[in-house]
Amino acid sequence: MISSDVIRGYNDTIILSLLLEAPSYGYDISRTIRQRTGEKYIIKETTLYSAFSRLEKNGYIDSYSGTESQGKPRTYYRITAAGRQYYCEKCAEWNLTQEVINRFVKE
Amino acid sequence: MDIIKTYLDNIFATLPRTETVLRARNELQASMEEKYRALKAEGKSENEAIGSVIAEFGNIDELIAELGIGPADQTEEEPLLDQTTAAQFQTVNKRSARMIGSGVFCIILGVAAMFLIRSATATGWSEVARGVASLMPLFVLVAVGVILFVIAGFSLDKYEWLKQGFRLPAGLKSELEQQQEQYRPTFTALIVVGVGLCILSPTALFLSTILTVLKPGNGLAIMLAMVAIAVYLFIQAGMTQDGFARLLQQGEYVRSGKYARSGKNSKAEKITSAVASVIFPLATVAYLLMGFLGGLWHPGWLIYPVTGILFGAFSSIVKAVVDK
Repeated sequence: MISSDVIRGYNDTIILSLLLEAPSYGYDISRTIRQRTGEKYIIKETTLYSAFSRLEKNGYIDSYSGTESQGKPRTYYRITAAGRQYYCEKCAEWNLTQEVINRFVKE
Repeated sequence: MDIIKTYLDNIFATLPRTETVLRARNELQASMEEKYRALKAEGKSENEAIGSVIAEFGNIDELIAELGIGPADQTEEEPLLDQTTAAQFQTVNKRSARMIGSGVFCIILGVAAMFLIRSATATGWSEVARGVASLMPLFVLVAVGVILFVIAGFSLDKYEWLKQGFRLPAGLKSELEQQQEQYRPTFTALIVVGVGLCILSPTALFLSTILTVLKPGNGLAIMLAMVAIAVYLFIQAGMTQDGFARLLQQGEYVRSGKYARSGKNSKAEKITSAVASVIFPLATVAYLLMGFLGGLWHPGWLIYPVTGILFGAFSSIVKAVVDK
C-alpha cells in the first residue's frame, strides 16, 4: 500500500489518464485504479472527490449526469482540451521528477 | 446502506449546508453505495462491505480544505440545536397549541353561549337583562381566551430564535423526521375530523331554521360549538406540524445556503397578519352593533363568513403581488 502523502501530487495525473480513455464516474475510477495497481494504491473517497472538484474548477474536466444500470442518477466526468494539455504537462513533469529522483535512489 | 447515510450525516453535521457541500455529500454517498453494492455482489458479508467502504472513505479535512469551507465561521453565528432544547420546544409548542386551541374554543363558545342564553331568555326578560345575561359569559370567555393567548405567546417567544437559523445535528434530524412521519396519520385524522365537523355544522342551523326542530339561537349555538371543536383540532394539528417544520427547517423555515430564510415571503405574511388583526375585530364590532342596535343577530352573523372569504382572497392577492 502506497501512502497518500507520497502520491498526492499525482492523483490528478492518474484520474486524467483514465478519463483520457473514456468518460467515467467515481466508483469506476477508484475500482480501475485499484485493479491496475494490483491493490497497491487504493484512492480514498475524499481524495477522489477533492480531485474531481479541483479539476472541474480549473476547467480540466467537466461533469454531466447520466444513469447507471439500475436507474439511479450518476455523475460522469470527461476530460476537456485544457485537461489534455494539463495532462501532458504533468507527464513531462513526472518524467523529469523521476529522472532526478532516480539519481539518488539505490535499487 | 443506512449505515453509510448515517456515517456521512455525522461527518457532515458540523459543515454549513451550502450547495457545494450538499453536492459533495451526495457524490460521496453515491460512490460509497456503489462500492458497497459491488462488494456485496462479490460475496462479501455486510460487515466486511461496510468496513471497507468506511475504511476507504478518507479524511474529511482534505475535502474541507479543497472546497474552501470551514465549520468555524458558522459556529459563531448559528447556535447548535441539541436534543434537550428540541424536546423542550416540542413540549412548550404542544402546551401552547392546547392553550391557543382552548382560547379560540372559549371565544367561539362564548358567542355560542350568548345565542343560547338569548334564545332561553326570549320571553319574560327585559332587553337589558337579556343583554347582560348573554354578554357576561361572552366577556368572561373572551377574557379567558385572551389570557391563554398571551401565556402561550410568551412561552413560545423563548424559541423565536429557531426561526433565525441554527445547525441541526444529523442524529437529531433523522429522529425528528421519524417523529414527523409517525405524526402524519394523526395529523390527517385531526384535519379530516375537523373538516367533517365543519361540513356537518350547518346541519344544526338547518334543523333550527328550516325544520324548526330547534330554536334558531340553539341551532346557531350548536353549529358554533361544532366549529369550535373543529378549530381546536386544526390548531393542534397545525401547530404540531409547524413545530416539526420549524425544527427541521422545512417549508417556510427552509434556509437558502447558510443564511436564514429570505424575508420575501415573510413580507406578505406581515401585511396579511397586520390586516387580519384589524379586520376581524372590526367585523366583531360591526356584528355587535348590528345585533344590539338593529337586532340583526340572525342574518348579521353572515359578516363572519363574508369577512373570512374576502380576507382569504385578499391574502392570496397580497402573496401573489409581493412574491412576484
